[in-house]
Amino acid sequence: MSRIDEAFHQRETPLLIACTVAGDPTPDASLEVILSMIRSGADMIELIIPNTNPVADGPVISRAHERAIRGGIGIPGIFSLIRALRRESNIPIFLMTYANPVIVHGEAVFLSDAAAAGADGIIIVDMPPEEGGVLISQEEIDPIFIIAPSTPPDRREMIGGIGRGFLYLVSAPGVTGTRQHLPDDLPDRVLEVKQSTMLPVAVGFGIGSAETAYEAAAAGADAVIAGSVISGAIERNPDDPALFVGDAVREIRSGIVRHRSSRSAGQ
Amino acid sequence: MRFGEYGGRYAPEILIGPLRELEESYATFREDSDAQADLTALLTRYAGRETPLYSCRNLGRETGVEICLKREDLLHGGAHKINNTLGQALLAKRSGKERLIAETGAGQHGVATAMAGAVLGLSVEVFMGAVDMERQALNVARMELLGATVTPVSSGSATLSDAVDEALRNWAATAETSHYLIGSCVGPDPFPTLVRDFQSVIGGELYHQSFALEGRLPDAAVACVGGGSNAIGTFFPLIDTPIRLIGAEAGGRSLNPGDHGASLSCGTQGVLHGAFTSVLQDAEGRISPTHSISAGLDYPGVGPEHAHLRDIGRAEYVMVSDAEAISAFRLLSKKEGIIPALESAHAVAAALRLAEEMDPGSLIAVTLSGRGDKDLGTVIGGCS
Repeated sequence: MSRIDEAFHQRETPLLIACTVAGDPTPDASLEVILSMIRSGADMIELIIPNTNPVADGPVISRAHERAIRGGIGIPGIFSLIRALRRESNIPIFLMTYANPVIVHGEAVFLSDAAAAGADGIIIVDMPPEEGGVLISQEEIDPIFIIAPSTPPDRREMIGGIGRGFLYLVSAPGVTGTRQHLPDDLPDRVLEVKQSTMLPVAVGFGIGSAETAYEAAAAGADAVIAGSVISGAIERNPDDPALFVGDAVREIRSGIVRHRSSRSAGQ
Repeated sequence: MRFGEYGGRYAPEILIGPLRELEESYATFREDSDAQADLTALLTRYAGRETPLYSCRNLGRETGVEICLKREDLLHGGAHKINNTLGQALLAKRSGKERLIAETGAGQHGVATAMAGAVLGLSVEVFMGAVDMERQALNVARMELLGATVTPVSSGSATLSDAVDEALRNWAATAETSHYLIGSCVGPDPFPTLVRDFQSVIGGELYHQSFALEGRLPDAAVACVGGGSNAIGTFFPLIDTPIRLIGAEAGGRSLNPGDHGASLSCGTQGVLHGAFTSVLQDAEGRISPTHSISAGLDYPGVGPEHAHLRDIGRAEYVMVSDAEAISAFRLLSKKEGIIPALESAHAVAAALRLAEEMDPGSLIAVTLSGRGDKDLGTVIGGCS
């Protein structure tokens, strides 16, 4: 059982997946940021590989990509960061990357190196299953796939059958970024996805507050993913990002806790 | 759809549904004789096709080689871009879309999209790098006059590549009602095929006109390559002929990284904007900055079909420096009374070089992709 499977297996409340761009704002500060996320209640870490053309990301995470590139982290630096985290923690870690760095590095080598460094899973955001032969056939690291609002039912089933670890359900059309509220149809969509897969379902895009975390948890998500709120905290507090990232993670956590309390109160 | 090993659909899941829908609606559009007749009418009576094939009276005569120009610069809007924008806008309209999104570098594609949107009654939003907006203020004004909204993009280097990123992001949020009208033969499948097909009118006409006017096919066809849409439109209908196909890339100021836009001559394999192609990037796959005196060639990737034609040896790609392009710009203006776009001047320069090495009596066809009024500031004012 992978660390990701185990975390979902043992969960009592929806998991909190905290997400940051690796090396934002610098490689050293990034390690502190991630340790702070773990101390503040993150159950799983999504580590984004900085990219020059982050087409699926909104402005906040796009600027985080730019900061991390300026901060000088490279692919070896990212693998070192994961190894440094592994010395401190057994928390599940998955990578989120665009296809190009993986392809340029050599797909099989990249996946193998990532697994060896201690990563448990990988999302290659612009590598749909049709382009992901190598990704799907290897056994070293969980390939995590995305389900979008525009994904039709037959395709949802196909993806639900080949992904491992969990499915990443995008809450609303568009790119990453925080929202006031998640769409009203989210509970129905979570249910539809759960009916087409054996995998846990994590909800991401738009979650940056206790309120939206609560909405995602109440919609039936097995995990809640928060990213832009963390990149935003780093951007606003370049001198001590770890401290403010901790606050952001605790805020999201409080929304998940509120969901659990309201459920127990209702029982 | 792949071109050899190149192309593919490297797109976020959120765009896979819209891309499939586009593939299906395009397959219908291709077979729909009403739609095709409508497109032909627009290309003929609105855009001004067919464009002349003009045999230069003076240019290159000293070499004994005849140079013909395929005059896409005479189209409505002053560039070949309208072939593609009318085609895609009509496809969008017939698929029930209400809005067009486009990216633009110099503004030519943005203007051509604004024209197509205006004539077909579709609203248009054009994403343009903030730096480019400043450099091409006149084209911004044209787009706005034509009813389009121009949205500045300030991320990254605030130029074409960033504008494509932003257009893709906007499409991810609006695909139900909007069509992304991509400006070159780049992007995830089926865009490279779509754009190639709509631009193939160039090479198709060239083939027939060459027989009719010259009684023979050219020995070589030359076109400039940024993303490569006018070049693929020229080359594709000629692929099964013995004609040499030559693409002219931006050699820029020097061959140092960041100083040119020669993705085919200097790039390595990678994924950019949804396609596996030849890309200017570093060893870790970070996309390099580029430079060209012509904004239309200032792009770190290239259409995947060009990468394939290069690999199989069917087309050759050469580099033309900023300085050579400016010389050709001035020479064509003086010798023939035709001011070419700086992009097209790269093709003219490559043709002049080729003429030196070809046998006297040979015939070279050059696609003049656009007119050069927009570039007077750059050439005369000396700014880039």
